[in-house]
Amino acid sequence: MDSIYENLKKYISDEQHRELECREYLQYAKHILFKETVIDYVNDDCEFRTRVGDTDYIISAQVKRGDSIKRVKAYVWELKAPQCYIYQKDNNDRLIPTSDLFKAENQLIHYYDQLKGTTRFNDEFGITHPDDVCIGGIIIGRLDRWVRGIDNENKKDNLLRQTQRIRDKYQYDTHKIGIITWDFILDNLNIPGKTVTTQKSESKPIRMSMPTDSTNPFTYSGSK
Amino acid sequence: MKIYKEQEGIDKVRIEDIIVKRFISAPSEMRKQFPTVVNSEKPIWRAIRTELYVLLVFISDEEKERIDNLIFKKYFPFPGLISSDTSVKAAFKLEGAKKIYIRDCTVNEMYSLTLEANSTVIIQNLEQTVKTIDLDIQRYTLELAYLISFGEEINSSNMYDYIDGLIAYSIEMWKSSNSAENLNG
Repeated sequence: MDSIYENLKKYISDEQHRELECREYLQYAKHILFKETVIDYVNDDCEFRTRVGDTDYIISAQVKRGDSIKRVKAYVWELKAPQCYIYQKDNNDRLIPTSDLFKAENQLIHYYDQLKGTTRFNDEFGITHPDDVCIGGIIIGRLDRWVRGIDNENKKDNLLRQTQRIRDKYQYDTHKIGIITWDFILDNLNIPGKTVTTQKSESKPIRMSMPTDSTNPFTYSGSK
Repeated sequence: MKIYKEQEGIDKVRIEDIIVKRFISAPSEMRKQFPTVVNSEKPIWRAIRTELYVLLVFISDEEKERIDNLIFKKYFPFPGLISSDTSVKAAFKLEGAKKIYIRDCTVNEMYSLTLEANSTVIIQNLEQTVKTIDLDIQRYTLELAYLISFGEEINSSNMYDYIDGLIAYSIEMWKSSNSAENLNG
C-alpha cells in the first residue's frame, strides 16, 4: 500500500486539479496549520458555510494564555489546487498574482471577516472571543507553479524573489496572509522522518583552520 | 549542480515570534518534555545564516559565552559541524533530506554533516570535537539546533515557515515520545 507521503505526492504531481484530494491530507499537517503549540485540538473542518461562501479549512485548538488560562483559537485557511499558478508576468520587471491567487486572497479575507463573531462558528469551534480567530494563510500551487509566462529561469527567479520580498514586507508582516505550497505541506507531514541516534564517529584526525566570517561569510543574530 | 545562494540577513522578530508561539506559550507541564534549553520562559538562541543555510541553536549560558567570544573574534562558532563540500569525510551526508533527526551522537576529528540543498535537520545532543590550527582543540555540544539549507524549495521567503515546521515537528515527537514512555510505565 502506498504511504501517506507517496499518495499526496501523486496528487500534487498530477496535471488535473486535485484540491479536494489533497485537502484530505491536511489532517497530517495540523501541527503546522495551527501556528502555536497546542494543548488539545478542538475541531477542524472543511467547507464551513458562511454567508459569503464555504471556507476551505479551519482548525481550532486549546492554547495557553498566561500562567493558567486556556483559550481556544482558530486558524482559517484558503486552499487552491497544487496545479494552480501563483504569479504571472505583468511586464518585464514585475509579476502579478494569478486570478487563482487573487480569488484565494479575496475569499480568505471575506471568510475571516464573516467568521469573527458568528455564533454558530463560535459554538462549533469553541471560540469565545473574536480576537481568537486568526488568518492561517493560503495553500496553493507547487514548486513548478510559482511563475507563469517567463521562460528564462534567472529572470523568473529574480522577479519571484523581488515579488516575495515586497509582498512579505507589505502583506505578510502587516496582515499575516502567508502563502505556502502543497510541497511545503508534503515536506512537513507529521509522519516519521529519519532518526539517527547514539552514533560515535571518528576518523583519521583532520586539522582545519578555524572558519572565519571572511572565509565563510555569515550573518548572526540572537536573543539577549 | 546549481548553487543557491541567499544573501539576506536574519529577521530576529520572526524568529522570536516562532519561539514564543511554539516554545514559550506551551503549558509548563508540556514544556517539561522539551529539552532543557527550551523549557524555560526565556530560551537563549543564536541564529547563523550563510549563503547556503541557516542554523538556529538553543544554548545554555555557558555555551552562550563560548559562542559570543568566538563571534567577537570573527570566528564561526561551530567548526567542523557543516561542510558544503560533499567530498569531505563526514558522519552524516544529507542530500535533500527533510525532517532528519540527529540525536545523542559524538563526532570526533571529522565533519558532522555535509549538506546539500533543500535539507532540514533537527540536531539534539551532538558532541563535536575538532582540532584546529588556530585555536587548538574545539569541543562543543549542540543541545538543540535546527538547520535548513537553501535550494529550489527553501529560500528567504519561506525559510521561516520551514523553521517553524521543524520546531513544530520536534515538539510533536517529544510529546509522542513522552506518551509512549507513560504508557510503558
